[in-house]
Amino acid sequence: MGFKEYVGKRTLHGVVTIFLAVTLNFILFRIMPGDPTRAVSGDPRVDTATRLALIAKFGLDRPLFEQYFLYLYNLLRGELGISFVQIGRPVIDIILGRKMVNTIILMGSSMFIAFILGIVVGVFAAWRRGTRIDISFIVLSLATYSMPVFWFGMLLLLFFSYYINIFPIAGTITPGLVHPNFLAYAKDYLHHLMAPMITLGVSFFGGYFLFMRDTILDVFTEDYMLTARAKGLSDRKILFKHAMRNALLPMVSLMGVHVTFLISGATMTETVFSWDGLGRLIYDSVRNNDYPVLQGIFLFMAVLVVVASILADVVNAFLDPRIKEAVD
Amino acid sequence: MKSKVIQAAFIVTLISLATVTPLAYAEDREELSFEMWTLDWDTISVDAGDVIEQMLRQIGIRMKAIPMSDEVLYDNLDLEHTYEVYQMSHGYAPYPGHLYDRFHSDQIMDYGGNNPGWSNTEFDALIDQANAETDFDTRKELLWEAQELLAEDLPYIPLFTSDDVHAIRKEWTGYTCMPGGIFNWYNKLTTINLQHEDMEYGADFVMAYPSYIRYYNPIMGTDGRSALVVSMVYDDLVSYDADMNIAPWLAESWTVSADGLTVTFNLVENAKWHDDESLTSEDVKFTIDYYIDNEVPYDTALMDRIDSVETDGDYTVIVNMKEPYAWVLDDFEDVPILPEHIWNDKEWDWPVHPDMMPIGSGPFKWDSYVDGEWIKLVANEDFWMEGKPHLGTYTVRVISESSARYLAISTGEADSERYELDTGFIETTSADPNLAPLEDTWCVGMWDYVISFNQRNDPALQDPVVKKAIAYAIDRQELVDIARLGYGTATETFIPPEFFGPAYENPDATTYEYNVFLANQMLDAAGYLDVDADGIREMPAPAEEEEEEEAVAPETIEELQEAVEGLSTLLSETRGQMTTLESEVETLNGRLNSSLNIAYGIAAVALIVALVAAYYAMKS
Repeated sequence: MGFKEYVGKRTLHGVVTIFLAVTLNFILFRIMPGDPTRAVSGDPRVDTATRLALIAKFGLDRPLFEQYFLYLYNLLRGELGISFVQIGRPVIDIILGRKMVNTIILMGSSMFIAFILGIVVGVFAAWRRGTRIDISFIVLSLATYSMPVFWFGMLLLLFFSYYINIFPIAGTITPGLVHPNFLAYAKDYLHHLMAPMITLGVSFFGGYFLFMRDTILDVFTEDYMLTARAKGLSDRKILFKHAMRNALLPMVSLMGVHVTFLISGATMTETVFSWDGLGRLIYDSVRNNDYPVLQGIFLFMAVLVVVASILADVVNAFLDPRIKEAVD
Repeated sequence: MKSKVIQAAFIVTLISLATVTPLAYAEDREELSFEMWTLDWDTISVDAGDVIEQMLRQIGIRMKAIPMSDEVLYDNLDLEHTYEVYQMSHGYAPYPGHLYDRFHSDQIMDYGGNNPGWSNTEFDALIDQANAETDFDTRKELLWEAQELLAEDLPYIPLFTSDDVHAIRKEWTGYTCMPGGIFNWYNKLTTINLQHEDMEYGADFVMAYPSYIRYYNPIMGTDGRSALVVSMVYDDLVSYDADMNIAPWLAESWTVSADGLTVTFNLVENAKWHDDESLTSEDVKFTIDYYIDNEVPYDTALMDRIDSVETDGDYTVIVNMKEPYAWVLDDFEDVPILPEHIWNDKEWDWPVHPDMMPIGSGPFKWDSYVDGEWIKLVANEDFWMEGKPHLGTYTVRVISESSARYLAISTGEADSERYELDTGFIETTSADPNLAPLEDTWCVGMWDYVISFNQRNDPALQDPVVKKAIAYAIDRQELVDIARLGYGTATETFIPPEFFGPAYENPDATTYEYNVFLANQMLDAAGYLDVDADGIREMPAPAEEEEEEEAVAPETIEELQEAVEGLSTLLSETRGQMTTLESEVETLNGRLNSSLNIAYGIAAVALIVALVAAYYAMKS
């Protein structure tokens, strides 16, 4: 089997996986209790004639199989449908717009901060393992790790936006404000970003810290550490040049797994801080039974995961001689 | 050998005793025991449900309150129709069209509004007649008659409205309290009159929304969030005053012909679209024709009855009806007039891309927005009504979380919020010095809570006596006090004048004032007795027994009513005795229960003894 065939096979697997995801996606939302026709009409006081007309408009009165094939057919044409809740607006516009950018910025910045902090503090704690500092960091990180993030978010909101009132209470930018230039816009945006970013950063920190600390402790037992020490290297050099670099590899692959968070967002945090991102879109759509939007988001996430893993496999196969040999 | 026989005989006696003892006490009749579904996310519904369960225990009915998710509950109401009883709010429109929606037999269908499946030809005829009656007083009489039929059979019992109390900063004045709240799409008085106490004109108002508006499209924007914005940007022909009477708006006057077939609107002459085109009768004609020609699925009750529209000059519109329609003006209150020069080539579900700035003629103009976050409206300086609106800008801002909304209002980041206060925030808000006192914002709410009985299967729920007893046994004011901390209005009738305006006051309406004693009497008389003394009444005995009783029990409602009147004069005297009686009954019940328990206890002991004996018998 040549390299090309391997790539082809992997792609075929990916396509099948995506197809399964699409089907599951379709079934999942339809076995969920709840009647999308209510989402379509929105208002409990809407009269019966209006409801029936909207149900017919969306084809929700058709048999499930017919709906499924129609869905597949439309998907193949690149048509994700229109939202039940905001009738007339294409799902693709709703997903691939401001909301996605907002989520990527929020998740990206908070994961980045947690990542850096986790590494630095993790290395430090591992170095000083067993001391009072190490133990207090472990307790702290376990506490932040297990803390409900929306609860912590609300506490921060209460503290920063009410008692000392330095951060705005909601949104991504000040409503109604016309910004003179991009810099002013960015400043306003950052001001709004702070509180949710801190919340998420704190909630991610615990996990990264514990992982980093454990990995470093593992690395310490390796032979090359002993060698380094025998060579008479300084502690700092051992720690940062040898231990940390090697410990970073599993950290980076963990980060790779977490890439999907960038898109899926943090539903709870986004809701508490009224951050207009995809996480809150998922929340609102679940509440409103907005199938087309949910299907759109989940399909998007599924494709992202599949493509990312295919890419990783292919790149690995290309780079890593062991895998390449096995393939050949 | 002999001892074994004795032992066996002993065992047999004990086992038979064990099985027979409880049976002697139990009687095989169905209990008055129901499941009452409440809406799990609505604390008012859940709390009221628990209180009702307690209240109905006093009359020997077990009404188990079970919170359900709305998906399950609504699915059942729409399609399966298998629930027994539910208790939640429905929501009034500004005029009493709900009698048709909720009880007419036309509405017994999938997704229909007649949830109880109640059908009464006399009622249907009255409602059909009322819907075609354009004279207000005649129509009111018809509706009252229809309401009496409902009060006799009680497919549902109106309980209370959860009232609208609002968190609004205290520096704002000029809002009008209307049934449905100080902020509502048909409350245009607040829209045009709201002002800052120090600034008659030009103040900036920020309104917190729990989520973004659903539609920019004025035709479809009928949900509570979109409708408020739509009502500020677009005009309708008529509006409501504070007492829910039809009031002039874009039409400064109108006439309805005696036969109800011609409605003539005279428009104000200085109305302009936000893009400076003038608004004429052609736009109104276009709007109505647009609804009809495109088969727009909104306001169909009105549009289906319109034959044609004519204009007479620039400011007179004549609507020719196919048949007279009672709510023609009320329905026009909900039809936004569209600009012909923009909508003539659009589909009705055109998403109205907001970059094109929705063009209306209302008191506020679309200014800017960030999709999903906020919308800024600015005062329309060319608005046709002199000196209105007072505000300079009106910003809608999304704050998803209810405590965050409260904090925002308290710190001044927002000035008020779209919806009424959750019950959980009432206490905090009333203690907050930055906010207006709750009494100033207290209006009768549009959410009407009812307890509704499925009329399809259960004979007990079909029996008016049971439902009336339930109606008598519920203390509505206490429900309001517990479920809504007092900020609610107990409703006695199916068209409560507290909401629909004093014009609907009916002094002769049948009502059910809280009276547990009477409720118990009624159930006793109808043969619903607690035969097994477990505190829950059983269904009446089968027919042959009943025949003897029939002479005694008041058969018709009239007889019962007479008995009631006679009783109520005695009531004040009997009240004192009643309480002692009730406590006696309770102790008696307790004793009965304990003797029942003893019987079960004996049976259990007997069973154990028998088993032990059997064990020894086997061993030996």
